[in-house]
Amino acid sequence: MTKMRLLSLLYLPLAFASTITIYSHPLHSADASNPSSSLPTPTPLAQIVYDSSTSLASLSSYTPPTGAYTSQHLLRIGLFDPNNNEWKGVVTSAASFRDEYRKKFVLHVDEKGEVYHIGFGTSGRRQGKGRENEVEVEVVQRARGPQPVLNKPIVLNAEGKLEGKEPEKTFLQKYWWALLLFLAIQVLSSGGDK
Amino acid sequence: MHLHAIISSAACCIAGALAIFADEAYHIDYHRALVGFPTQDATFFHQPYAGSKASLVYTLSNKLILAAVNPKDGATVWRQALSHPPNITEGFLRAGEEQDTVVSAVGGEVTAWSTSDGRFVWKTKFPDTIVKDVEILELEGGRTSREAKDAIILLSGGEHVIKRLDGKTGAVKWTYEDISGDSPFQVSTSATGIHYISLHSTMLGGVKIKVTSLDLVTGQKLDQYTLSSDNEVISPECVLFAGANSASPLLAWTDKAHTVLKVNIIGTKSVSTFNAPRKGAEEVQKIVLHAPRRINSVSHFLVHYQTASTHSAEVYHVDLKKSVISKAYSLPELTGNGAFTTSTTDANVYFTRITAEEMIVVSSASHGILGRWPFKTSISKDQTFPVHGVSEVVVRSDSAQAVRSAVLFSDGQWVLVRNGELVWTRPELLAGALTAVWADLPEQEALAQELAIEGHENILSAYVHRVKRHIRDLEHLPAWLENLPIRILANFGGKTPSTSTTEIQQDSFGFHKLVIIATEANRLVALDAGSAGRLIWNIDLPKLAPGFTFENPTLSASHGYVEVRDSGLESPLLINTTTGGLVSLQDTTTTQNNLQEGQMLVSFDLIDGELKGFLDKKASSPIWSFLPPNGERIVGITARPIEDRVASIGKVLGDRRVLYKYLNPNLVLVTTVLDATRIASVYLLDSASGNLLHAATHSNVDITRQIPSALSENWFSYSFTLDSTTELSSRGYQLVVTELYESAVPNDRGPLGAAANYSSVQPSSALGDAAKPFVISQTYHTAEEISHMTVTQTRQGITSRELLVALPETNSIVGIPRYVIDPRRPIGRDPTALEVGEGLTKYTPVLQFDPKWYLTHKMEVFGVKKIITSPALLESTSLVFAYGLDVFGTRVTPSFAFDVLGKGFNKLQMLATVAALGVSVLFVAPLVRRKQINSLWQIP
Repeated sequence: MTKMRLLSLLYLPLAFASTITIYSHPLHSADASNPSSSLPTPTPLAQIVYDSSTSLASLSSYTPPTGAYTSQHLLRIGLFDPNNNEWKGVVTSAASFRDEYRKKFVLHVDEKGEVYHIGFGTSGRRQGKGRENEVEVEVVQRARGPQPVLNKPIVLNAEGKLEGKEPEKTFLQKYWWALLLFLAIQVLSSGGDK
Repeated sequence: MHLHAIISSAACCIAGALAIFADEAYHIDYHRALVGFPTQDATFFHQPYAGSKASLVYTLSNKLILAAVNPKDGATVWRQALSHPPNITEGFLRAGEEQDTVVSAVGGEVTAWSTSDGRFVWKTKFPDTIVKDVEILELEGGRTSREAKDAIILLSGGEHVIKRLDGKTGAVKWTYEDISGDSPFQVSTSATGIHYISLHSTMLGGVKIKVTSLDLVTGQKLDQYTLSSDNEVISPECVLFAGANSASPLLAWTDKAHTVLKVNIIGTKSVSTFNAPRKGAEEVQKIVLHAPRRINSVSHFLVHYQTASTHSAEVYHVDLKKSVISKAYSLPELTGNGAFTTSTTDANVYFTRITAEEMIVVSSASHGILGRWPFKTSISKDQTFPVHGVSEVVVRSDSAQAVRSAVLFSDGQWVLVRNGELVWTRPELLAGALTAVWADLPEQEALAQELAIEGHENILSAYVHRVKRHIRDLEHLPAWLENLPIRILANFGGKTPSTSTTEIQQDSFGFHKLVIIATEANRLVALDAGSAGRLIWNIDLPKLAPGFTFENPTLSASHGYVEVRDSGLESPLLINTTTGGLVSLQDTTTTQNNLQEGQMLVSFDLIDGELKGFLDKKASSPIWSFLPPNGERIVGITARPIEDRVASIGKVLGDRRVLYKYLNPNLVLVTTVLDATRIASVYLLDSASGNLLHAATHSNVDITRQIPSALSENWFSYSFTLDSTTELSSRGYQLVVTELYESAVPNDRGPLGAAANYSSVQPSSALGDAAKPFVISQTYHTAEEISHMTVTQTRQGITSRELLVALPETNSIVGIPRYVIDPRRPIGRDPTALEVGEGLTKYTPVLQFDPKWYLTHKMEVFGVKKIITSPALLESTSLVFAYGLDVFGTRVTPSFAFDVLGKGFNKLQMLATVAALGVSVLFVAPLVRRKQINSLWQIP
């Protein structure tokens, strides 16, 4: 149902494209020696141009987060509104940003084409494929829920009969050959007696 | 694993024979048809038809359930749930003397019901108004009539009106409008006319009582006078009594401090003043006036004074000719709380005094005790006391022969006591169940703990531990041997050994589990699910946490105690599950944090319409948050059960290939609605990382109806109502079932392969999108609305599951077998041979509830709010408990009871067969031996 295509910005029709910025927001303080110090503010992680009508998206800028990529440190990846400090998104380990993984941002888009949730995942690099795109972007449309598959309605014509159905053959029309055969056998067998 | 898969698929095939057997109905299931707390003014003994010898107890409860209860055994003869607007909690119930209908009024609806069977007689609706009072017109022009008696109702709305309704049809005969703007209080009828009592607020804050007399036939105003009560009455609560239907209607009020009692005979302007008795320093907390309701009874009444620790009463007589009220006698002060009831025989009035220890009957004429019955069994434990009740008294030659009283006790039990003997109890406090939780018996949990220790040690020390445990268990051997003959006999008799009333029977099938219920009345109750929901204990929570009211308690049970938490309560209350006693934190074994290395606990909560995940409860900043788009409102959150055993990681297809299930323990299903565009959506989240796994929207949904959902294993389901104004080709109720698999391709485990560990937070080096499930779903139409759904649980999860749904329209609970709502059912074609082998049938858009699926069979389970399930020790069986208004429990075996003998198994016959075979072997053996020897000696 959802299509995933990766294209560079060049192929995107600019007229329908929207831009969204994904922020990273560390859950550990920048100063490791002083855990009580306040958490750093969200910083832009990636800027993505996407077109919800075609489910196409491309990365326009990407700045990997700073700091040690240890698995203990957690980073929040998501949408951030600096005006009202509203933040929504997912959590991942800082180790996800190591070089050996391919990163993937998922934009969950509603019917209006607005991003309402961000997803983030990693996968391993394929061997022998050379230098692939380090970062992927996927646009996921919200699906319509399944509908019941209804039986076809029975259509009757003006006389209240089923349309398109041939009138049933009479007994004679159906079994004339059997009667003929019977008669033939009767005639032939009686002829044989004589 | 494959073996498990085959077993489970075999289990699916058996499930076709699923039903409740006639000999199991009422044995494996139990049902308490509850009504809620009976209200004092709307509870009475009444004969179902004129001339009937027996009477029933009619009540309108605080849950607005109208019920007739048989006083002989406490069974509900009939029940009607009265429809009412959500903010209405007050209702009225009246019955005319020798009438075969009762009239109820709730909100703006006045309804008459047949007394003997509860059938609907008539209903009159008054939209946008609220009924404030109902009275039955007993006297028509000074004489009683044989016809259906008319009802007088007081309506409060834009204008306050009084209407007379025809007793046969409910049609309005006349209307009187009160345009004064006073707040309506009550109507009262007497032989001379109708008195409308309204409260007129004065400038200084007091309330004056205004009495308007109306003509019976025309409804014209005859007279009006105002009583200067503004010195005492400041709120409607101060008016104690406005005489219901007696020959001399009374109007009584008191001041806020309960120091003075003022009584007026309605129709006269004189007011008699009496001082409340003051003994010692204790203040009177409550004054209740009890007067007979019958028209031909003498005009005597009793005033009940209740202080914090004692209660007393005074009896007054009314002289109608002189219009004088005089005190006749006092009943002595007794400690504790008590209740008084009024009963009449002919013209005589008798008062029954019920205390925690005894019941005493006195006549209204003199203070001599006509009968006294101490309670034979201690009815009230733990300082409970009678709250209010109704009585019937039989008096012959000036001594009370018998008395029976239906009394509501402060522990929420509605009790009938006859001559001091307890006849029945109805646990009406369970009608207000807020939340419930399953609790294992402590012995089972102790064994599980020991086994866990053995499982985690090395072989040698585990063996030593086990031997030690077995030696320790030997001390139970003598008792076990002693009980053995009894048990064997009971087994052959086909009866289960009777359990004593206090102890909980341990059984080898694990059916005896406790259900701990927190109620609206701030009480905590434990029921034994194995013995028909027997009440084990019933405790008062505010006593354990003084001064705290539990608004929204949450319960969790483990290690032999139950934790009661509530927002605002500093530390959770720990309560012993077997005794109901308070356990201090020191006595409990420290809860082990069962997190393993590298794991962390993420909790989530709904805050300001946004679902947020937290790493630590103390931390203020969430680690993930999910806000549905376009201002959608979150209406439901369903998480996978913590204990959700899955026996098979795959689903075996007909050709022996396997579809691997997507089994994520952190799944959370969020249901949302958008009010403006009638859209309902579901979002499946991973609650560890906050990633969205699946989203679906449904349009044209009636968002005022409930959207229940259930999540288990690798599938979830939800149900909703389509808007009736929709243009779609089908309308009604839909049930959606969605399954999640690791991959769309059979025998493929997806990017993760057979990796043992996976974290949705830590990076994954698997090739491909590891977190994404493959989703298939199907939608069915159901014939009825579903108000709640849950999934059965069994011990190992080998047994196939059942989706339990509550159907409020037919007051029933249905268990839908899982294979019926398999989203892989072929659509528009017959299943292939391989699909038939898998157990799939052709998709039909309408899911018909098979009558065999109804767990409630003949019972009507009212107002189910929630169904909880728990595994038994038998793999085949899941325990089910439903609560809300009624309490219902049963056992379900979704794949047939394959591991236990049914009731039809005749053990005697089996033994007889074995014995007969043994005997015949004894006889035949010599014959055979002789024949063999003979054959050896024969010359061939």
